[in-house]
Amino acid sequence: MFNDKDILTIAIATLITSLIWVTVSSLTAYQRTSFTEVSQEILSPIESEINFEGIF
Amino acid sequence: MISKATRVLSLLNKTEKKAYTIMTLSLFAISLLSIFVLAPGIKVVASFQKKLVEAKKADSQLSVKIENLVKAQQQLKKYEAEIKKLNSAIPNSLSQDIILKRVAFISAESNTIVTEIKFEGDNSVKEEGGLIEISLSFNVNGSQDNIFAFLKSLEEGDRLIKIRQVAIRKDEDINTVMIESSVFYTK
Repeated sequence: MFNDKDILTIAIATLITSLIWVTVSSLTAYQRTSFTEVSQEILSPIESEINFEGIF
Repeated sequence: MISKATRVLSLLNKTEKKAYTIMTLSLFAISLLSIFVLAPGIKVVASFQKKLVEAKKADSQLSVKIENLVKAQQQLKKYEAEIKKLNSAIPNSLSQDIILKRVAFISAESNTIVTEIKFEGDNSVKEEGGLIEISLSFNVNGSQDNIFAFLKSLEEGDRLIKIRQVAIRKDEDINTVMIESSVFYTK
């Protein structure tokens, strides 16, 4: 039915597919990860130039 | 001789078959290893890498924020007295009663009589940069000097009152002054 070369070809194709799958799933995991330890409220910038010099 | 060649060929075929089998099994093994072992590991590494990048970004943002807060604290300390003055000049509520008491006090102090005092309606409210301006108009009777004293005290008071327009009308001995002004408060 299948000779040795056919099975080897299938094995190579499986390897390539699995490597692609590993890459894609890693990239997806990277994209989905978000940093939640510090809330956005704390990270929001305050007025970058707090300057009373001009007022008084 | 022929039998020897046949044996060698058969041995070669056997070796090649064995090589194919080993190669195929190795490739399948690597594939399975990639899917079930390598992939979860790389996923964990990728997510930690992302967290590390974002944590570094957050760290730099927080450093800037801390620097700004320290600067603000220093300036707040430096200008604390002025800020108190500013807060009383422009409070965070309209507090009409305080304005009325202030006007009544100045009027009594300068021997003038406030005959009418009017806070304009909502259509005259102006808002700019968090500062709300309300129009305030009033009529004052008194001698010229007393009226000047009244205006001076009004301008020099703690509460910021911007005098926009002053109209003086003289009826016999009584001077009537119509003052249009603005008071401010913050949100």
